[in-house]
Amino acid sequence: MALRRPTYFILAALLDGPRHGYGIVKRVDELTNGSLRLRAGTLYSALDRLTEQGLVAPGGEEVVSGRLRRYYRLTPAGRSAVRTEARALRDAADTVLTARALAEPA
Amino acid sequence: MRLYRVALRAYPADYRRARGDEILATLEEVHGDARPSAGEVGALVLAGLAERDRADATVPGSWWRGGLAALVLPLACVNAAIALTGLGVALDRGTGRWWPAFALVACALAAAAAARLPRALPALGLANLAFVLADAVAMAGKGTAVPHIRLLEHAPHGGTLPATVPSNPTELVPFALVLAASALAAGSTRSRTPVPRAVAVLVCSCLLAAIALLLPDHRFAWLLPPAIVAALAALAFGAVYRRGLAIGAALLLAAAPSVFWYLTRGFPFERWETYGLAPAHLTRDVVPGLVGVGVLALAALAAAGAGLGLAHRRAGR
Repeated sequence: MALRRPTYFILAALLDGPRHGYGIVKRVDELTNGSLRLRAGTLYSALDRLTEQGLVAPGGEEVVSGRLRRYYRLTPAGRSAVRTEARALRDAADTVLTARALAEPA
Repeated sequence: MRLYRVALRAYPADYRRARGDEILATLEEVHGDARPSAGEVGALVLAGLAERDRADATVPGSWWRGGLAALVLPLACVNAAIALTGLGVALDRGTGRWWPAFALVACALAAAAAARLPRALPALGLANLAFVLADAVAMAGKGTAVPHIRLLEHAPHGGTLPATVPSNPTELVPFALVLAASALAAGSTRSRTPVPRAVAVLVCSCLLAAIALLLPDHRFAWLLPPAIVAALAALAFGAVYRRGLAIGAALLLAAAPSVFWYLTRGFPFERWETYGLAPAHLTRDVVPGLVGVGVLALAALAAAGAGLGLAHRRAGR
């Protein structure tokens, strides 16, 4: 099943370790060069759905300067799902970006 | 932050208690003291409504209630809208010109009631039936030969039944089928909270209207404006609820011939006003019509009682 863009980047943001809500928003912003600004509503629905599907799991809580931070981590299934999607995206990109496809028609 | 707090109310209370602080903390970290972002507020509201719908899908038996609301509430609310607003008498004088407005008000009331009164269905249904019966008795007591339903009072012809009840009982068959189908469709939204349920009610009104308008003489044309509004509402709702999109699109398609007729020939007021009220007409039309309405109302009530009983038993309450 193809992942939607926000879902894909949320999973991608968690590849290098657990993050909390703001951490994910910031990381997604970096990963997409600012082209995907996650809204909190979108982020948390996606996290709920991913948790339900077993792709993401809670990764602990802490309180920093009076604010609750709940961390999320990738499960092995989540890691494999985002990798599968990345490969599919690469293959899709290759069909357009290979030297042969890029050559101007004669 | 205050605006975000308000927007968070779109979420179910349980969810808000569990996750509200976390979401607010994230919003605070992302935006700091910046002006509240309309995009964030919109996303919160949409996500909250979707979460309500999702949470409801897991309540056992809740699909009964959506369906029953769709059956009982529009009737009850049309009655209420007309009975409570003396406005109708002042504005209308039986010409039928304001009837579409009443129908819209009734749809809005039905939607609001559906949102607010999930447990009150049987009571509403009974009150509605009692109201209709009391009215009929009162009118009969005044020596009026025709049982009079207040529901139709401000419809064309001053609300005597032939105005909106098909003259032949077999004409009720498509309505009964549509009612049943609507109840199932609304029930399949599996929901007892505001938006899906309200939309279910609107969608059912719309389905009825689409069928009504396809009948040969267009006596039901007053249903058209609420039907269009309902279809648009269902379409808009599709943004958070995918089935709403499909239902709305199907309904607009179903209503398309009627819309075309309306656009090309205008609203059929004169036709309503010339519809005759000869005594022979009344005995022929009213009795079967009333029996049909009564049977439908009783069936809806019985289903409401049985459905709610079952729902509560399943939920262990």
